[in-house]
Amino acid sequence: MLFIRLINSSFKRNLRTYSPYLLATCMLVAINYIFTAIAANHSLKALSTGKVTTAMMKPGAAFILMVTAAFLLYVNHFLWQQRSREIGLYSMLGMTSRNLDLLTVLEKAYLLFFSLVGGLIGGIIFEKLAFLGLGRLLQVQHLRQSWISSGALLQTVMIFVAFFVVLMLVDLLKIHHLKPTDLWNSATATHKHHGPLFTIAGLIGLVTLAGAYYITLTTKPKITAINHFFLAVILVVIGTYLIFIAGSVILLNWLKKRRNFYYQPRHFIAVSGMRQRMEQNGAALATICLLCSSVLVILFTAVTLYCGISSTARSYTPKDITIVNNQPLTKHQGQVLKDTARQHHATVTDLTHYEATAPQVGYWRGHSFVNQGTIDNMTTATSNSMIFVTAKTYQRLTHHHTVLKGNQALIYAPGKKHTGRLVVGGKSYRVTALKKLNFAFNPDHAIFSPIFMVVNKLPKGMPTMTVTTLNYHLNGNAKKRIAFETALQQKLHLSSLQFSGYATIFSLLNGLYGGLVFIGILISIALGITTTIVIYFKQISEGYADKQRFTTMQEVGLSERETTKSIHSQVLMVFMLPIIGAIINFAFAFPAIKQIMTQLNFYSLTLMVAIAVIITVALLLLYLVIYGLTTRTYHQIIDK
Amino acid sequence: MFNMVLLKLDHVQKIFEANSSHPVAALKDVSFTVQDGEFVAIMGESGAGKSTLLNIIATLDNATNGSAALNGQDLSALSKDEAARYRRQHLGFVFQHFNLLDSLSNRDNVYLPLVLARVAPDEMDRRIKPLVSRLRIAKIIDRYPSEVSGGQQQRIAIARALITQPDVLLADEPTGALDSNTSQEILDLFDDVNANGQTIIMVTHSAAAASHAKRTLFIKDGRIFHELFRGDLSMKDYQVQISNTMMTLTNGGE
Repeated sequence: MLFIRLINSSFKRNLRTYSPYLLATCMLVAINYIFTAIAANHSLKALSTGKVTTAMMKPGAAFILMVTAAFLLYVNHFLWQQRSREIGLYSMLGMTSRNLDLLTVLEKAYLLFFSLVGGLIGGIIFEKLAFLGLGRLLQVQHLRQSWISSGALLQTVMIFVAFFVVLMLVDLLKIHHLKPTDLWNSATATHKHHGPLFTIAGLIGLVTLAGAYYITLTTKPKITAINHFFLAVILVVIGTYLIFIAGSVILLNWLKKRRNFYYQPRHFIAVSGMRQRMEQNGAALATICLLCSSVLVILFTAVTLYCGISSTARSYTPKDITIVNNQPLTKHQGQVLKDTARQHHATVTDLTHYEATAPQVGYWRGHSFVNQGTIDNMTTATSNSMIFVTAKTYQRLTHHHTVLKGNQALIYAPGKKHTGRLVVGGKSYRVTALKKLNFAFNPDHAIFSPIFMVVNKLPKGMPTMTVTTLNYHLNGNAKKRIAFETALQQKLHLSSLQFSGYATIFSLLNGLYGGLVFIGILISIALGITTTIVIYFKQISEGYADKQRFTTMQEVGLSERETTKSIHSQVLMVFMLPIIGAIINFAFAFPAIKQIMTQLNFYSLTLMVAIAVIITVALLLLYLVIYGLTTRTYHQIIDK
Repeated sequence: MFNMVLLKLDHVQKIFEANSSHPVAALKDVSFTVQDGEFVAIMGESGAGKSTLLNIIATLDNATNGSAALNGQDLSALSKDEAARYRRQHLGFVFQHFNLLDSLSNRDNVYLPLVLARVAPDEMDRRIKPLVSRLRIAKIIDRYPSEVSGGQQQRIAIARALITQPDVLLADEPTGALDSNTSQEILDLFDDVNANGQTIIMVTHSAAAASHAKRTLFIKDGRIFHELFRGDLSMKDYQVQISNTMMTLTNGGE
């Protein structure tokens, strides 16, 4: 009973540490539960796109589990530092290591119990809400979800019990490997001297980061773009850690050597204080920076994809329906179209067809396009597909009066500028760029963005295709439109590559990207919670460390105001560094993401910039709010 | 020999939580003067008001009643910022726990008050040289506080206090955290510094430490209880006298 009383009093005394910790673990339990519950949902699996959504849930859930594990280990380390003094005292007062073990087991059991109860209650409530949100994102109404998913409940409980058992073992090992006096003294910091290896590490960090940025800046919309991006991510992770841990200290040491700069009141305290802070916090700050970077990139990508659904769908079929075939609709097919339309109460308008060359994939080498043939021949170098139409077709479809002489041509290549002389398929053209082309589309539905060339005569020897497009009116919701499009495709006996219906594609992409946005938001919340707690605990430990400095500086002759100002500017700098780093990382990730988006036929740079700015500003504000709130705790410690 | 009054305390009173139902009078009525070049020890038991007294002299706290003046400057008239500036221009501190900043090297800890006063780096180098040899800190000056012993840290702290050439060196239990050998070395340093004309006021409850001073004030219950001059006594005899006085003090002031 004594032990329970001791634990209770310890919780009460360390409420400042334990309450945010418990809140965070509760939220992580809740998010893990929500993920497993949704992944196990049956009505979601029954959806046409549901399989994809559930499949995406798995890596998402794994990622969140990883974040949770890393977070628990980090905070456990922090709690240990805070509690080591207390445990040292108990040990000196004569508690045996068996007693201390019991104390640790009890403490962990308490934490686990409250995390699970709080987290699961929260999880069950918010899972309902999350599911409604998912339904909205996927634009489906008929999802069903029972109140409690017992399988998910059991899984979450088991995972967290396992986590806490590991934490407990870590603590028990620590207790058995430490002498009481060590426990007592573990709070004192020592000064580190760094050898040449440290300098090399800093340089490697710089090089790695520069390399990562170079990759993102030069990423081309090829099939390898995603691989390049992941390589860049790995380099950024390594680079950020090295720069925060070694680079910052090297820079500050260099500043210290510049005597006339260093020995000025403001620089003196700031540089030496920052050096010490970076020495102790480099890794934690790098972690915060990377967490913020990933929140930015994940949210940005997910939101952009979601916003780009209609533009991607339009790139597959600029009109409501696009049919690609080797001939115009036959008489019979025309009749089928009419009949099906009548059955579904649809009115067909703008029915038209035109001839174009079949898309030829290839890539640019300077001003010439290297033609690789059909999409089956693509390689890692492939970046575009090329389609020719005649000036006559162009004039008929756009109503622009056009006369092309000799080798004159018009080119439509979104996301890339071409003018002057171009060589395509061994033939030289003098091209003028088109800003818009209302009938441009992506017949292969591939990641290579299509280029349209308007020429006098289609080049000889290239296979051609006939594109039939039409719009239709139909009184009814998306479901009815999809039904019409599906029926028409079936009756015309066309494959999905030949027949593209806007409503069908839109709903397909919506299911895909809606799920992605949902996962992106949940992951961001998980990362946000962990980041907040890491910041909070950093503030607390900084507060305890600064308290002593505060007094000393005033005794030596710094006024209270000067002391407050200098310490606050350091704390602010320490906490602004990660978010600034994250924004820089994000700024460099932007061009690469843009190229990947180009592959998904999303070209609107303004929209992307707008989304990026909104997300960055939102994160910055949130970060400052968290900073403001945690600073209050910091002040309470300092002023005590 | 001493003709100039450096510090003058006149009926100083300090009451904590004056407005509460349980006001605590840490200092009831304290008056004394310190002449330029003196080495004064202030003794008393824990809770007698020593630290409060030192804080008032150090401009870290204000007297509730009465006045404290250093070099003719009324200390209670200073605003907080003025007090900070005053501290770094006129006072040097040595503490029981050294209070060095762990983020600064020993050299930079010594430089700290000069940097705050915007002294040029070359001038700082010039000023630290005699201190380094006198305090025998040449070997440790470019290391960090966490890397040197307590006695060495205290030497650094003394160097930091002396580098501004203060009017008064205030020491608060300077040997409280040191073993007797190291204490002896530090106290010898104080003697040496005082012989060079530095005024020192030291708060202590060790008779051995107080025996290095030329005059010892005893405080009890917020009042000056007694005053002992060393005069021509040997340090040992003086220490015996101080011990006896402390004994009387403890036994109820008979």
